[in-house]
Formats: sequence, C-alpha cells, structure tokens
Amino acid sequence: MRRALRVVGEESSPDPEDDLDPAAVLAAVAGGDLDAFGRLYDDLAPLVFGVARRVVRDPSRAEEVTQEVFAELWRQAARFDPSRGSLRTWVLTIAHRRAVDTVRSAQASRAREEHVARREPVDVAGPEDAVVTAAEHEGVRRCLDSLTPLQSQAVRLAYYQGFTYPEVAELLGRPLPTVKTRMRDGLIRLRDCLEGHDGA
Amino acid sequence: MAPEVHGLVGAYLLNALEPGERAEFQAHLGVCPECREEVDSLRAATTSLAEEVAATPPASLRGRVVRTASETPQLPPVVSAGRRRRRWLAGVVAAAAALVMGVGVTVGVVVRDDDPPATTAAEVMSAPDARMHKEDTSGGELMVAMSHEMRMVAVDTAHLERPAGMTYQVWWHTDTGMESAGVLDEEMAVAVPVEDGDLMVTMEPMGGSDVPSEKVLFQMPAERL
Repeated sequence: MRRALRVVGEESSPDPEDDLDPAAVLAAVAGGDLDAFGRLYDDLAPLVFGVARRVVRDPSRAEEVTQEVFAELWRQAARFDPSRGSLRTWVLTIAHRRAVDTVRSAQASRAREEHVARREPVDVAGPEDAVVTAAEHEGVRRCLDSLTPLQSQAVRLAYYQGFTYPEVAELLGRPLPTVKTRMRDGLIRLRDCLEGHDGA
Repeated sequence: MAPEVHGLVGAYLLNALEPGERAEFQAHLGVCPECREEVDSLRAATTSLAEEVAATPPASLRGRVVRTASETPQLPPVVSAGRRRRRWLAGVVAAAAALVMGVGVTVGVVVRDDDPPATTAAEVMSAPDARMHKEDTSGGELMVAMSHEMRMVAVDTAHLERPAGMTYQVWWHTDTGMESAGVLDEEMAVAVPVEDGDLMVTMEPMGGSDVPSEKVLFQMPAERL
C-alpha cells in the first residue's frame, strides 16, 4: 500500500481527470487525519451527494447514502489500491451502487412497477448547482451529446434514475437486446470521447 | 466470451442489472479476463456521469460526516499475500531442517506451485464489487470480503482477539475434501483464490493444523459470499 501510493505520487494518476492529489490526501486520511478527511469530503461530496440525490430522489435519504459512502471511505482509506483506478472513480462507483440499491430495496416490486409506468422517460439530468469545474463539466456534456439519442436515453435512464435495463426497455419500447447493446455502446463512445479519441 | 454475457457490460456498470443477474455477471467476470478489462476501462467514463448532477450538499452534512468518522475505527493496512507465501516457504524449509536433525515437526501448510500473482487482502476489500460479511464472534469481529471480479476472498482478523499460542486458519471444504488455504500466523489478513466449496475460518494452534479444529468462526458456501 505504501509503495503503491508513492508510485502514484511520482507519476501521473491512472485516471487523468482526477484532480485530487490522492497520494498525499489519502495517506493523511489513512493515518486518521480528520482535517484531510474534511478536504476529501469537500472535493467529493458534491459528486457523491449529487448522484445520491438524483437516484434516490429524497434529499434526506441522499444524505444518509452520502454519510455511508464517506464512512466506508474513512474505514477503508488505508486499504485503497490506486492501481485499480482513481479514488474518485472508486468512491463514485460505491456511491452509485449504494444509491441504486437503496432505492430498489425501498420499493416493493409491485409498487415499483407502478412507479415505472408512472414516470416519464424524458426526465433526464440538467446541470444543477454544480461545483464541478466548467471545463470538466463541459467535456462530459459534450461527450454525452455525441451519443446517439437511444444510447443517451438508455444510459441516462439507468444511471440517473436507477432503472434496470428491462425497465429501460419497457420505457423506451425497445427490445431487451437492443437496450443492453446501446448501454454498452454508449459507455464505449463516452469513454472514447472523454479520452479524446473521437476525432473531435 | 459469450456475446450475450458481454452485452451486459454496460448494464452492469450502470447498475441496471437485477440482483440475481448482477451476481451471475460478477461470477462470469471471475472467469473472463477480457470482460474484466472492458469493465475496468469503462468505469471512469461511467462515473463521470456524476458530474452532470453534482450538487452542493447541506452544510450540516459535513459536520455529521466528520463526526461519524471521528467515532469510527479505521481498518489497518493489510500485509500482502506475497510476503505470506515467502514466510510459508521459510516455515517449510525450517521444518525440513528440523526433520534432518531428527526432530518430528508437522507443518500444516501446503505450498502450491500454481499460486496466482500476489493479491493483497486490501485489493480484494477495496474492489468496487467487494461484498463484505461481518461475523460477530465471542472474540470480536471477523470480516470476510468477496470480489467476484477478482475471484478472490479476503479474510481479515484484525479485530479478533488472539489468545497466546493460537492462530487463525482459512479453509476450503470442497468435494475433494478439506484444504488449508492459509494460516494467519503473523499477519492479520489474507487473500485467497475462490474455490468451489465452503469457506471456513477456524482458530488453530500456532502454525496451523492439518484438519480444522472444532472452533469454527465462519462458514459459508462460495456462491453466497
């Protein structure tokens, strides 16, 4: 662990869009430094809370999810392995999964089916009181816009609203295999665009 | 790689699989390096979607989060499996030397030639798909984490009491019998490859045993981990 952190400090982070200094901040957090933990919170909380609020739709539940995610980060700080991805990617992976699991466990399947039928498929995210840097946000927005409409809808309905892919298929009136494929294609195109391989 | 399964990579990353299907896909990841590579390569792009919905949390949340942290014990760093194996080898060499000297020593440790490259318990526990099991025992809390993507299980005894002269041992109970997967003589945690059977953690005399004692702290079939 110590060796891995040093390597990251010397070289660039494996995730180029990570603007934290993971080595220094994490080492301090792992050593029980609450001030460093607070700085990590300041950096990541808007993203974690934003995802949680979007998916669970209930601000107080979103706060609970955010608290759980950061408690986990605190507990596991000494064990985080930067070689498997950036700290931000790790935290946001946990945050989204928790948010989705929270919203699904809270809904009985029947109630959820009604919920699906009621909800409009076009309620997708717009920029809110975002604190992400303009350039970063611009990049994601531009790349999301480069997806085909179906790719974009499938990705957004799943990520921002926590729908399963059969629910997405139902909402979009498309066959299951089409929706699965569009989700994957959409993420591949998003990745290539963010990495600057889209020729744009 | 089966095209149907590969097609699920996007839905998996977006957490759009039903729970049963997610578990199936994770199990598949364990046997499909190509799928794992694709999942890893798309994870940062997937989480970048969060930037679209970033929102300032209520100011009061920060204090609560930091206070919770101040009351939450942190997990210690974990020793790598690589060091464990070297120590095992040292143990075997010592045992062989003891035998040469005519001292009867039994070392309940198997050194396997087909060990994969060292994976640390930390890596397994921090894997994004890691599932954590916490077992309250009379001696404290035992933690077991399973990563289907890595096909590894981490066993962490850092919060267990350790009576003098005793150690913890990890086992796989499979169709072919009982096999020791690791002895935690000095280290607190260990990562072991998943096998098709029951994972068991027992308390044993220092050095480990050939067969598990009665003192079983944890037992769970691999498919439920």
